[in-house]
Amino acid sequence: MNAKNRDFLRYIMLFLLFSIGIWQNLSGNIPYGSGLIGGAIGVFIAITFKQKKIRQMEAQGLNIYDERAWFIAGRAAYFTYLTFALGSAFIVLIGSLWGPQILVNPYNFLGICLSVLVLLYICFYYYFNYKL
Amino acid sequence: MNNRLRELREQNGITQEDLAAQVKVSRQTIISLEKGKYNPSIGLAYSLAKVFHLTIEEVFVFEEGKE
Repeated sequence: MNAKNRDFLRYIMLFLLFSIGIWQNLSGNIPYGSGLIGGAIGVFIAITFKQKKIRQMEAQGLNIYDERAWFIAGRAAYFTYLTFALGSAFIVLIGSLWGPQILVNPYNFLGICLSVLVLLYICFYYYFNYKL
Repeated sequence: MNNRLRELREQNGITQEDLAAQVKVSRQTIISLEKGKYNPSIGLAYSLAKVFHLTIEEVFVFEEGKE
C-alpha cells in the first residue's frame, strides 16, 4: 500500500468515527458521541500537521521512512509482542489461581488490549529511537 | 562497526542534512551512523561511500568481536 492510499484510508476511518459520533450524539449518547467527535478532530489535526512536515522534509530530499525507521519499527513491534505476551501469561496464570471470577464485556476488554498494545508500541518506538 | 563518516563529511564541507538528502535518509539516521549507534544496510553503506568517491571498506571498518 502506498502512502496516498494509506492516507485515504486514514481519512475514511476518521470520517466514519466522526459520523458515528454525530449519530451517537443524535441518539442521546452525548458523552460517547462527543468523545468520538473530539478524538476524530484531534487525530485529523495531528495527521494534517504531520503530513505537512513530511512533505516539507521530502521536498528537501529527506526520507523519514528510511531503513533506520523500519528497523526501529520492527524492534518496537517485537518488544511490544514480547512484553504483551509475557505480561498476559503472568496475569492469566496468577488470575486463574487466585483472582476473582468476574464477567468482562468483550468489547471493553478488546479495547483495553488494543490500547495497551498501541501504548507499548509507542513507548518502545520512542525508546529505540532514542537509543539508536 | 566503526566509520569515518563524520571525518569525511567535515573534510568535504557537507552538512548532515545535505548528506541525508543525497542518500535519501533522515538526518537522524546520519546522526546515528556517525555516533556508531546504527549499522547501515549494504545498500546505504554503498551509497554513502559513493558520495565520498570511496569504497565501503574505506568508510566503514568492521571490528571483529564487537558485533
